[in-house]
Amino acid sequence: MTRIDDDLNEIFGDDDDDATWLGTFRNIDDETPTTLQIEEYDILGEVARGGQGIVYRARERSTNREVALKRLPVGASARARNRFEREVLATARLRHPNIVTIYGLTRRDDDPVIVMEWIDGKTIDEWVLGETGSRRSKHEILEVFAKICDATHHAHGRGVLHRDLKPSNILIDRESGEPKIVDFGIAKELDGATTAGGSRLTRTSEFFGTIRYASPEQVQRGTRDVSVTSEVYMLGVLLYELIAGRLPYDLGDSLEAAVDAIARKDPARLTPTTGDKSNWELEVVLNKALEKDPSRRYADASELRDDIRRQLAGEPIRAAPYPRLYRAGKFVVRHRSMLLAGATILALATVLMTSSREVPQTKNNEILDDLFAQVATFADPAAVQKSVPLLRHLLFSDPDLTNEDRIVRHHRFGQAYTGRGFPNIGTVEFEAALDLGAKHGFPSADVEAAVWRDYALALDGVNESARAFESIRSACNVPQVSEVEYYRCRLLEAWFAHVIGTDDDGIEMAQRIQRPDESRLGPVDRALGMRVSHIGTVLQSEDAYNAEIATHESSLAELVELPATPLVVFCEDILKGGIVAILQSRPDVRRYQQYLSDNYMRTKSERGMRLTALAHVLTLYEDLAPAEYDEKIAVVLARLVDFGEIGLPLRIEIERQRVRRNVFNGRFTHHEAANALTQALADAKEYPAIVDQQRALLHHEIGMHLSLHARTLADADDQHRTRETALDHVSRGLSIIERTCGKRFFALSMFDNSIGKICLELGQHTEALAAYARATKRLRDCRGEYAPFLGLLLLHRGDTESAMGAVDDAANSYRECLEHVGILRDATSWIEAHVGLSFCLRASGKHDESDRVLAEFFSQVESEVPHLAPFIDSIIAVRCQDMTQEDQDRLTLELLRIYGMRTSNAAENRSLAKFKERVTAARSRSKDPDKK
Amino acid sequence: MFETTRKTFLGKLSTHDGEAWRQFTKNYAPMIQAYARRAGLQPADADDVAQTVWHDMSKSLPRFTYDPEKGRFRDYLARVASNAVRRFHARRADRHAVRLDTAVSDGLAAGVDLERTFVEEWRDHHCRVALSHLRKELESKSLDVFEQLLRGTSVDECASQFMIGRDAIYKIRDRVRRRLHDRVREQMRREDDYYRWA
Repeated sequence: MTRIDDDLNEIFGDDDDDATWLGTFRNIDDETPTTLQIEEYDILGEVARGGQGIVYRARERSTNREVALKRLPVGASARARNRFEREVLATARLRHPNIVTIYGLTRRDDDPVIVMEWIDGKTIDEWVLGETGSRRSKHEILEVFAKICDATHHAHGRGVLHRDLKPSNILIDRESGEPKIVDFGIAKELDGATTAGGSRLTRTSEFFGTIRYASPEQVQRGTRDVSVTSEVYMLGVLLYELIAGRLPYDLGDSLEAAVDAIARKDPARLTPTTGDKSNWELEVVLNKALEKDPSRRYADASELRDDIRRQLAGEPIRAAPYPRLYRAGKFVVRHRSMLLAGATILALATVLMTSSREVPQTKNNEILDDLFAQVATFADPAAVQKSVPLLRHLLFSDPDLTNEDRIVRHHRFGQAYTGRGFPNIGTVEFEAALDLGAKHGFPSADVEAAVWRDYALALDGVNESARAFESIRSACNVPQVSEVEYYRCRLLEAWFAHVIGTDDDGIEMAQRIQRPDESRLGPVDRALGMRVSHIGTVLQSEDAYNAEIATHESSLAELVELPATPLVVFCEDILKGGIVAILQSRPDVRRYQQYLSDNYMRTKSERGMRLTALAHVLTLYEDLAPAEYDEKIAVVLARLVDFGEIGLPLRIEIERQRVRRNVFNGRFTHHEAANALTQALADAKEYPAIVDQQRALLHHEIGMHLSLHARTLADADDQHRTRETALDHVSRGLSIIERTCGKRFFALSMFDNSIGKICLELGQHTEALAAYARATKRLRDCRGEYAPFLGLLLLHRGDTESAMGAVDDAANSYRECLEHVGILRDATSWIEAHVGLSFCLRASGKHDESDRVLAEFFSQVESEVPHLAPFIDSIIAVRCQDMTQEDQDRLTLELLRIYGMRTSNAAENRSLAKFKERVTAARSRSKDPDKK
Repeated sequence: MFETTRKTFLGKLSTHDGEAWRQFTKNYAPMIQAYARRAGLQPADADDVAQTVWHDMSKSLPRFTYDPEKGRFRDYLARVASNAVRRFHARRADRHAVRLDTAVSDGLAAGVDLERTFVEEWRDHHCRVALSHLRKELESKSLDVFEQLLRGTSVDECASQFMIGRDAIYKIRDRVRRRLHDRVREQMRREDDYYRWA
């Protein structure tokens, strides 16, 4: 408890030291308002306390006049004190009947205290409610407001900005009824601000004004940009509030929403009072004061004051209501910063917005095409997210739009969103188009098919696989579609059938599709056709792989210049995915990484971006020493924290990568890996919507690490418990995947595979078998891409059966496995299946068959993958663990016979030497069976 | 025996004792807000920070295991609160499109040591609580004297004002000091006791 004593010592000091503790309590005490003691003044009471300071009412002894004393709250920083003194200097220069007069500055214990005019009154928002509680008349309000404008203008003319004009800073004198602006608490000197140094008291990120009254430029760019026109804006808000009793915009319930409203929303209409023309004029005045663009506001407070006075006198106001064209332009200009493509779009959008009545529909659609072409060339998906809503607003606001126009536009917007990596928003647009089409008919069959088709792609983008397949089916069923559109839809149908996993055979479907005349196909159709026609191909030689990659790359090259429609992006993704899959299965990992790094740079989709960054991290940091790698990764991760939700998937991805790497190079035990990933999982919980798949994968990986960790545990109970936890994680992952990803057969099967593995370790053979059965059933019809995986599952099933003693079943599983794996596609499974098969055959007494299998096996190893031969030894060694010593020895001798005949190089000779050792051991045992 | 039967805050939370949580936020809200203001935030923002702190705590407390080696509840709270302030600065900087690293150095008033500031604020908090209790407990004469002392009135002045001897003033002063001292110590102890897992 020594640390409590430290605290006590800090507070109370030494026993004899009364200054310390009394001082401490004096400073923290907020119940005795009269702690201010200044010789020349009698303090009459504390009247206000706020972030800006504490205000006391006091009497100046020498003059007997009442004054207000203002001091900073206790504990104010040097910066705040500095600002406070500045306030005095700024305001003391002002002499205006409607600005509170500063008499001077005094000090108390070095703290500055302002002496100023005492105003007995109420704040303007209290005043406006009147004595009876009914609102004061508009005339009264405007008269007072004109004076406030005048005072503000006076201050501006002397280089002083108030910066915090709001009702609580404007008092109405009880006796005279005059408004008095108080609290130039954050006033800034106009001159000083532009010269460097001394007066730069405010910091960019520190927002002093009250958000409700802040101007658009303030909320968007920080306080540095505050100007005379910003204060005109503040006055506008003030007037609006006084008249309407509410703010010009609904600011929402978060700061973000408020900033957005201030920057973008138009002021709400004032409640119309019957037959009152001046209310309309007042709105014009308010709109001008509240312009988002400072240059369109009243140039200064006096202009605003003059228009108010003109209104009071019944004269015409200067501010002019906007024509429609101007309004449209204004809307666009206001959002200029968000529109990367700039002028072209603005011009087009403005024309569309303003002239749809005059321009024929065909022309209009041309413009629309241009517009979307522009959107499609945006480099940055985030810009789309920002600019498309704006365009959407512009393009749907025309009341003369026909339903057909609307369908086309919804479709286009869906494409823009989906193509730019926001398929979730895209689906909404497509649904709107489909709804309208169902009610009023589509402009053409091709449009209908295209909407269904793009809807399918968007659904695929949000992992709604089953619905995606249904949707593409609908596209295929649209009658009288053009040949090319039909071709596209059928290709996609086959693709989805194959990849998502349906009752139909995608490969067969692909083979049945009729290819239209070549001259009618565009690059996307050609690319899609090529890719789909290749599904299910099992490549058997190095040349075949190279040719396949070349074909993919040339197709990809044709797509690079095309706009990012969902179809183009989808084609890019599957082509790249194809190349990645091919490279991944090759030994040259470096090339694979290089490919990822080079190609995902240009990608148009958000998914691609994520991979780009990941690939970069991988390739760039791959060769670093572990410590340095960790350091770099930490920097990347820290950066990503800034991106909040958007960065989270990548953060998790990198974390997974980091953990994987650390496990690989031995810096993490599986236990540590599981812990790190559990932490990542906890982080992901805050964002349930976007990372379901990753959560599932994390669960899976945690489970796998735990299951590996279990192997290192000495205590059998611990082992069991850990494996149960592991099983729980993987099962949870599976249920997430099932829920969110529909029938993603590959992912589901991967989870079942792991469940099988852990169950096997837990001795739950039946459960393991059931998991493998589920997984293999799902994948059985998938050849091509998933064939090796199916092979792996069958291999595991065989292992389970073999462990259960069902050697005949196991032999069948291994045989089936060998139908799906090739020596080139998944050599390890291929080898293991052969070895397993030979063992099972031997176990059921079929020695001849076993020998035949092994002989054939070794001959293939020799001719196709000689570099793998050394591994075979270890695989066989692992197998042997479960056999009786006798069986093991016999098999080893036989293997030696076959193996020895075929070895020629050094590595294999080393393996051979090991075999020979084992043979010697076996021989000695066979001579003396008791030694066993 | 005493230790095992008494229910801790975290124990109560784990049994979804909403009252414990309400009491906690009520006790500590003024302190967190004052801290956030000291760290350079506006009053409205300070309120947001307090909300963030509750939120973060409610997330992390269930995982929180008390380790006497690692420090007191105060340190845990300091960490959560200063992180909340940092995040607030960073988020705000983000909205203003300032790069994070400049924003952090810019937004946090130069030289504000967030952890240390927190500890100061936390001490002040305990002093405030102790003082308000003292005001309720102290007999009126002593309280009057003490209030004068608190306002900076000297012992001599107090003696003449209350027409009692200087020694009596000293006595009152020392008694108040001792009571405040004991009270603060007791509060801190109780806090450490109450806000722990085990």
